Amino acid sequence: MRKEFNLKYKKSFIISLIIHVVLLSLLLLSFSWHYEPPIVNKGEEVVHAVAVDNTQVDEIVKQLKDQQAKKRAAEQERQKHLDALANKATKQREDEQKKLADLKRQQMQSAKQLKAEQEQAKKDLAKLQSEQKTQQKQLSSLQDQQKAAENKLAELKKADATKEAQQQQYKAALALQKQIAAKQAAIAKQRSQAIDGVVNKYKGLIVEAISQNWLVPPGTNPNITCQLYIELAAGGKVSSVKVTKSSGNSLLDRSAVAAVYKASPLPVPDDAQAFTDFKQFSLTVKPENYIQE
Amino acid sequence: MYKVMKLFISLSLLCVAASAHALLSIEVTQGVRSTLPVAIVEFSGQENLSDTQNISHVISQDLMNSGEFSVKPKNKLPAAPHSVKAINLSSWRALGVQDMLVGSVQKQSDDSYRVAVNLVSVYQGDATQPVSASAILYSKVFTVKQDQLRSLAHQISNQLYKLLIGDEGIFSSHIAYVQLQQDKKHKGQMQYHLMVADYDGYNARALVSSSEPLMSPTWAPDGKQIAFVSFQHTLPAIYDVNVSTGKLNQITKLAGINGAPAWSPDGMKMAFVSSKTGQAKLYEMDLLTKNITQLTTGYSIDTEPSYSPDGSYLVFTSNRGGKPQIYRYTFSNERVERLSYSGDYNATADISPDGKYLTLLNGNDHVYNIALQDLTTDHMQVLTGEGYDESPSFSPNGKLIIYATRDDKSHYLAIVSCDGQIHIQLPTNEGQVQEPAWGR
Repeated sequence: MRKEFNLKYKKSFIISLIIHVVLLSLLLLSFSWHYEPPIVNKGEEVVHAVAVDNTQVDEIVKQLKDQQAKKRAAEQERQKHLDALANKATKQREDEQKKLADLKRQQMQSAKQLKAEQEQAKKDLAKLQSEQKTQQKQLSSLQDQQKAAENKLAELKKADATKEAQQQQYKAALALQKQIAAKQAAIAKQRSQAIDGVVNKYKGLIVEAISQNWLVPPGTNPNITCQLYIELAAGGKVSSVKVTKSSGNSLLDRSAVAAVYKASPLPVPDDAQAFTDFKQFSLTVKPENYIQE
Repeated sequence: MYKVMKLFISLSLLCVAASAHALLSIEVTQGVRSTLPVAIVEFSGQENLSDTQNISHVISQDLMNSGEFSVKPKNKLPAAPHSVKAINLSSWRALGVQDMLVGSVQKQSDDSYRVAVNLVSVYQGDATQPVSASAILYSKVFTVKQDQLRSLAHQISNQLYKLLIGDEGIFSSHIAYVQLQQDKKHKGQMQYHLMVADYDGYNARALVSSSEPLMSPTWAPDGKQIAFVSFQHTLPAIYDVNVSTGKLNQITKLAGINGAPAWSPDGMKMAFVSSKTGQAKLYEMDLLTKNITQLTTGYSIDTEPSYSPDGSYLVFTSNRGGKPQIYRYTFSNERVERLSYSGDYNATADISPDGKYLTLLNGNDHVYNIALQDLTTDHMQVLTGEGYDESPSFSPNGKLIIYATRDDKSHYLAIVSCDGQIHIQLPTNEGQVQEPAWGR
């Protein structure tokens, strides 16, 4: 309560003080008030000028300007000419370079194509490998799950849980197994798809090369087959051919061996990694049909 | 159940691992059918021998005659080794030959010849190494007299053919034919000779000679006898002659014309043509009992019988349809059916040893060529183009056909392969040659 009273009192005191100050200052001001008229300067400044013949000067200036302009024009002309010459030389050089480049391009085209193919193959392989890695990871996680399921199953069995529970666990395990199988199939499919681009291409080329060199002995039973094991050196050179399963007809066996050697060097991928598949391979030879030459 | 499942899982995991390391497998199902490229290096020690006795030369000729080989020309060979040791395989692989023959001939002190022959498979083993034992397909040494060199060469050719083609060669086989010559001793009278020669026309000799016509020589299946027709006793009759002794024997003593003999495959019977009833019909004689059975009847002319390899039927020429065509007579049901339909004239058919083909004389607008008819498809392929061909006869392996032909200058014998690719003209004899028959 006391506090409120003090505040009210303080407020009234300040207001009365302000009013006193205002009234006092009004009183002081009324004594010093007077009128002072403004000062206006009516005088003008005078310009002093000397008359000179301007035409003469203009003429000289013009002449100087013309001379300069001409000089500039000549200089420009000379510069233009030089530029033109320089341009011409540049263009000529460019043309020659272009021609050279064209020639070089032509020469390099096949090499480039080859390189591009190789790089593509490399890329494909790298992609495949990384994809496979991922797939393998997924697979191993699935396998872990499978293992867990197995363990669970074993535990359940040990604990002699109810038949129903066991069956359910079994179903889950079965589903997992299916999943694994699907994953494996997917991996296999992916791998075979990637191989399409690299390995299958060269498989086809090898079949073609051997077919063309294979002299089928006359009257050979078209249902017999001969199996060979072939080793290749770098560049596809045939380093050894072995009969792993004879057709029972030595003539056919020999004709097949000869065909492989005659087709040497076999077409193989330049890429070292892709070539690995071709270092050793198995060849089945079956005299199903022939081209009469 | 649990155990089975576990096994299944581990198995399927194993499969993944296996497929990652599986050996790349490639299959080739198509090849090329062409002549086999071979090299035959001139044998050493033959400088003083004639071409007809030059072993490597005769073998080259044989292999080329077969139509199955392309023998590299002598001047294209990279080297001239005479023994296996001297062979550098890589240079022969570069030549592209699959097999090569090297050998040597040495005259011995007793004037006999020692002949060493080696056949090497060029594509066996490492080319940079000496020839391995497995690459030597054939290695033999013979000792023969000089006059046996040519027949030895044929014998070697047969063995090479068997090794490289897988079939029996025909290089030691013989042919029989009829040769007509003017006899200078008898004021230019015509002389008929029944001739026997090597398959390539060499070593020809007369087995029977007569001033009366000789016709239709045909070999017994064992190759020891030749049956033929002789006009010796005014009317033609069938005889046979022993090839090695020359002993003659008259087979038919029937009235009328008897001709066109054919031996059954077992050599026990002979089919022939007789006109004893007025018309030329087919008969068969049991050669032991001499019993004769009439096979065909009617008013047509039936002639030129030839047995199938199994002896179950005969093919023959008949004009029962108006013009000469080939018909089949089947022994089991005594039925006759027409076989040839292509062209307006078909005659003198011979059945291939495998029974699958007929070779015959095919005539169209007075142009006569040798043709081959597939008995399964009835497709007929004309093999020759001389236009005056006659009397085709299969080789013992059924791959070649010998026939008689002529040009403006002479009559001669020729050989054509069943695919029509190979044409060989046999050495020309004096006079006319007719009716070749290919024996064993």
